[in-house]
Amino acid sequence: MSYDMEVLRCKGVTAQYEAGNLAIRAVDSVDMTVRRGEIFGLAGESGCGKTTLMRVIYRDVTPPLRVLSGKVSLKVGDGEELDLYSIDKNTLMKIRTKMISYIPQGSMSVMNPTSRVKDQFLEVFRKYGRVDKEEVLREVRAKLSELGLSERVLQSFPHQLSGGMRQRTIICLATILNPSLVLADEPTSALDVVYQRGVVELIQKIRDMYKTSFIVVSHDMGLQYQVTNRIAIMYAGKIVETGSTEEVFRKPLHPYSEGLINSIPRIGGAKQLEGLAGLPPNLANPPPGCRFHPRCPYRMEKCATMEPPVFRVGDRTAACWLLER
Amino acid sequence: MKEDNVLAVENLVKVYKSGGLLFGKKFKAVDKVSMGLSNSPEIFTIVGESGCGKTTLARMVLALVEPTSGSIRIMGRDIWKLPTGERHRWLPKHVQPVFQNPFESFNPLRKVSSYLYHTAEKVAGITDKREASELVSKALEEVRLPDDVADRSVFELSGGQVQRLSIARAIISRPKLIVADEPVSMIDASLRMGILNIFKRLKEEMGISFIYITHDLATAYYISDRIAVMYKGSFAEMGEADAIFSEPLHPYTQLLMESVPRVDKKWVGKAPVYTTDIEAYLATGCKFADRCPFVMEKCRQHTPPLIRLSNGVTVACWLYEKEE
Repeated sequence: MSYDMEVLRCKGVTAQYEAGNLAIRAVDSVDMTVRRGEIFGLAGESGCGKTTLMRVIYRDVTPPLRVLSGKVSLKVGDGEELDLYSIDKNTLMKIRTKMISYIPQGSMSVMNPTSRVKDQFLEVFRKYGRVDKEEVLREVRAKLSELGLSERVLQSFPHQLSGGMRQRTIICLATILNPSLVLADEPTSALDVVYQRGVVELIQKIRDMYKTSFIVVSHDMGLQYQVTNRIAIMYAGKIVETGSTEEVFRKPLHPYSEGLINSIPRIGGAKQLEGLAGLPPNLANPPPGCRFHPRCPYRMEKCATMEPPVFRVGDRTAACWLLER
Repeated sequence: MKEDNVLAVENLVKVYKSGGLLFGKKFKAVDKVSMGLSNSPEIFTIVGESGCGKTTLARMVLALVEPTSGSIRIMGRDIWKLPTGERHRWLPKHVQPVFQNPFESFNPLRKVSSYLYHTAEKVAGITDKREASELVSKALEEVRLPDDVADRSVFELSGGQVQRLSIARAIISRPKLIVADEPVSMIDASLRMGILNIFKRLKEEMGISFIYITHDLATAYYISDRIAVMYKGSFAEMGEADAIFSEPLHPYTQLLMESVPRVDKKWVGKAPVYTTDIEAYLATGCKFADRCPFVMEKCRQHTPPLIRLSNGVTVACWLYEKEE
């Protein structure tokens, strides 16, 4: 894959939460690339560092979180690369929503409950000096109708919208300026199953129409399978596997991905599943070697002492000694 | 219904009122629900979306919410006709809850064992120290928690372990029925099966029946013997889990099944679009009529009765009228 296809590149990103003598390394030497126009899934269980990684990519880093090392670069315009951690605060504010957007988890708390949806759209434009209300609203209405949303939402307060509608409105709000990358943290986890599809369709539609890239963070493997093109599986602060979603689900390379995928009950499938033994490690004191080795059914001697490097298999990667050949 | 059936719920209704004394709004959270659990242990699952009334139903069975009308009999006794004191003494021996958020169920600073001993003494009525300690270690073993967990504080346990603890606490009094309200929705996917497998084992080995409340069809498929699909306060469809999963009849059940983000089959076609109104809970006629792709004139006028089909499934839908 040629580099000009990429919109985001993370290299060796390490970040930790600090409190006194305690340091919890929630993201540890993460390498990741997101390509233009793809929906990239970030999966893993609670506490594995998914959300922290999103905050680091958005440079929403405030104590106790601290970035220790690594580089996050965004590709902008014609081949120019923007290192998110070397630009000043003003430039950062300028590129947010315009080039990179972040939709945190919990759609209820994302929008201002006391102002109409319309005003929240206007505010985004005001930030970029577009103050002509009529003109802006015309543009917003056109975009909403393009995406199949009723313009009635503009007159509503956030609490008047149903959960699914609110989430879709937030996605529109986050993509109104056509950013090249949108970070969506658990976009459907607060929604009932019958509304999830609508949100997924909207994300796919925006991707198809504007070539926007998305990172969809979700612990729900069913959602990951339905919406993403490529996926990264995270465990204890590290990305253990990446690859095309179809391939990872069909034949996971890392034993953790395998355990995770095999422990999902399927309607019409087996009625005796075991799940993974043991518990995820404490990130304040992770086990030596491979972090998954205490739970791994295939563990070898060296797994307990030596951390596996990332092995490349075709277009896929996995950090497991089993792949050393 | 036999007198000693574990559970017999008949025409259960719960109306919540809000607003003023005279002109307040009414909201029917549970609307004429009937169900029963016989003496042979089984896992009965109630599936539905948020706000469908499944938790209210569970709370009524646990005697935490008083029904507006209808009856709940547990082992032949109508629990809301019992004197309050008697209800509080008798019911927990036979019916126990497992809640969604295990961390809200326990004080994080208290010892794990104190909860178990407290239940042994107050609920099971065991005063003998040795007998109680046997019961406690037996319960911990049943849920596959190591014995040394008993001496730790609750905050030292992980989410999965705390949920195991709440199951251990629930089985101390050897109940007939455990009502589990979304017990695995906060547990990580890789640990969920472990918890659900405990339910299956307790059913087989201790003869405990379960009411499993969930929004997740895949786990419902995994553990249920029977299943009821709840929509806006009423059961849309009820029957053997295998029958319903292989051939969902009610249009709402079909919609739910199609909406599940599966890991083995991609969604086809476009997502259906609809709105939900609070009025639908009080509407005459079928509550699903506004969203139903097969809606007929009749559906908007009359509430469909529960129609029993030859395979034992009951379905509340006019489409199956002739097959009765």
